[in-house]
Amino acid sequence: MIGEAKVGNEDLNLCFEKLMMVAAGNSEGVKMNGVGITEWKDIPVELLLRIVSLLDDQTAIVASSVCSGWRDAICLGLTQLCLSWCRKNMNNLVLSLAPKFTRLQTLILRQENPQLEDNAVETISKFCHDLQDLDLSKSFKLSDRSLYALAHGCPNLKKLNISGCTSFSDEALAYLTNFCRKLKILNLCGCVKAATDHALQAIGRNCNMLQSLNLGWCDNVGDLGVMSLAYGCHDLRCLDLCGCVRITDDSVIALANECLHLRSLGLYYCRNITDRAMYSLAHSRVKNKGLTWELSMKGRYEDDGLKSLNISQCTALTPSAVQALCDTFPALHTCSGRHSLVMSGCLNLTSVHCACAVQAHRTFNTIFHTAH
Amino acid sequence: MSEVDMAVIKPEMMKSYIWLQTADGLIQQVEQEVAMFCPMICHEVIQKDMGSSKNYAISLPQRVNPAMLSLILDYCRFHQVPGRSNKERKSFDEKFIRMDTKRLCELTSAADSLQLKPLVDLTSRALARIIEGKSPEEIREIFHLPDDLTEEEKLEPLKNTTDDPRIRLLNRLYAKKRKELQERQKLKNIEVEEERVDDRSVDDLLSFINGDNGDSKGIKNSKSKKKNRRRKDQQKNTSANEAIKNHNKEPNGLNQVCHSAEVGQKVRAGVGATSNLHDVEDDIFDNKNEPDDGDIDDEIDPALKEKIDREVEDFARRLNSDWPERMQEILSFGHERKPVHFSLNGNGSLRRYANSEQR
Repeated sequence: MIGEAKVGNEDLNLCFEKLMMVAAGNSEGVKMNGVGITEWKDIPVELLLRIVSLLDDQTAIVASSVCSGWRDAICLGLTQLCLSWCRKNMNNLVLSLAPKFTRLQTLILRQENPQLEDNAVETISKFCHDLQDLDLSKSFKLSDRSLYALAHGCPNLKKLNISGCTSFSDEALAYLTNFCRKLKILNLCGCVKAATDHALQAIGRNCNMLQSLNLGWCDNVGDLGVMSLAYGCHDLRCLDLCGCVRITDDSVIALANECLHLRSLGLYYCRNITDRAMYSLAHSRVKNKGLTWELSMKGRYEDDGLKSLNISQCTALTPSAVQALCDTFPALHTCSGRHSLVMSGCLNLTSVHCACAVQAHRTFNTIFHTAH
Repeated sequence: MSEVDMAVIKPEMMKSYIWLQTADGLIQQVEQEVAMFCPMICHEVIQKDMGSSKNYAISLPQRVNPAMLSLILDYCRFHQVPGRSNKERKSFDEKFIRMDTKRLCELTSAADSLQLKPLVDLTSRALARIIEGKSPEEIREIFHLPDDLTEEEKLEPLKNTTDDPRIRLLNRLYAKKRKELQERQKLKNIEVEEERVDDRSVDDLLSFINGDNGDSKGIKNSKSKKKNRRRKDQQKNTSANEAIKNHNKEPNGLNQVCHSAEVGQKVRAGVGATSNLHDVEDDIFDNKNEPDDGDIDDEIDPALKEKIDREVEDFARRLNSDWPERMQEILSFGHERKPVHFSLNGNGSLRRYANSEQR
């Protein structure tokens, strides 16, 4: 077989043989014009999978119930599935599909209205051990049982989205991190009970490959948690602390010193943040010029440093500190085209501008003056 | 040859050819630039130095028969010319893949064995378009696949994909009718005017459904005489009740509809199927609609029941039939029709529009 087959070779051969056997057995269906394949069931599994990958998820599920050849091919080859279009029966659908689609790597179960229950997640954990990307957002009905099941069944998880799952506790989340150590992207937006300092300490201990963490509106998060996170997850690149009102400068200072790859930071509504935090971020960049030299040799200079910062409603900040920050990180922009430094609600920061905005302003002034 | 002779020779005669042999033994020669468009042939020529003469013809994979080879070469002949615009190529592609499904399958298979990726993509997409929106039975028919799964295996995923908007609308219609009937039972002794109020609410529902889905059966029901309709509803409701209460294994109205709508044509009632259907029926009694309290006369005139069943099957069949047929049927009902609004996608099915309606 040519091309990038995601299925093991022996599985493919097995499927192919099965398809051939079916072809031989069914005298009515086979029409061989001497040589050459003339019947659809004789095509290689890879080709069938390529066609199925072009179908929408609902049709792909229907296709798996057409005949045994297709069923086997799809069950062995399907790696991505999204069931968010279900309005009522998502739970039953997962219960019947998870045992069949054991090679799933990506499973999107985001719901518009809550349908998913613990038994479905337990079934997923039982059968889909290759799962790397799982989206369970807005699953209001799930309890800690699901997290415990996932911990045991899906250790290869790299991306987990449990935003909006308000019933999860921090004990269960901490337990999960102990097993799912490969987590890179974790979304805990709105998980007020789960995202506590205790859980963050566990994450800092266990998930050292973490790159992106969303703690939006988790108001139980405090400095202790964020500092543990900073000390443990040095590869952190995106951190959203929107609505984490208990955070103070200490958290940001820890992040600035420990997480040198930080690209995106959200501090919306973190009223306790003062200029100290801003200066610490700026200084960390200066301090790490040595590191950036190494990176610039690899041609990644532009990638380094903050690219996006949200300090809306951080009313304690003064223009000088924020301007210093803006000057230090060339990727932070206030100009309309690439607005990445967001300062809504900070009325005293209107004078802060990025370099390109200043340039445009200066050019305008020059023209105006030469006219005189 | 002298130089003069060389000048007389036409350019075409200087072209080089590649020799190809299909699995049936037929050998032919093809212009080099056309054949080299196929990666597999290219590989054979360059790596193994094959194809330069009849004796060293390149053996093509078994999946490429002469008819398919000629199609593929047509494709290559067009696309290997560098000067064509994207629009020209796209237009050629669209015309090129217009063929019956069987040939399309063969072509996909042949193109795949020759590693001709652009053609594989083109044909795969065409096949995907054919498969989309079809039921398993239809897919089996189109591609001549064996019917070798058990009832349970077939129905399981389908049962749970009853998020299909057509089935949901059907469920909604039944639930509404049942509720309406229940109200009628309660208000048995009150004047006719009350019933008229009920009529209007069902009409609203039906016109809402019609507005999205062209439910011709629903319109017909709303326009028929009150008396008949009440009886019909009673029968329909009773038959639905029977299904739920008695776990009836025989095909009855509701079973038929669910099966027809899901599977497409045949009516099947297996043991597994019935118990699965129970779940589906649970969905009907969901949330807004109270469960029936069962104060209904269970005796049905078998002839009437058959008539109802036929009507329901007809209804379900119409939901699944193609757009042109449906339009014809609607037009043939003449004055009874209200104007309906449809939205078409490329292959004439209403599925996509109905999906957006779900919000």
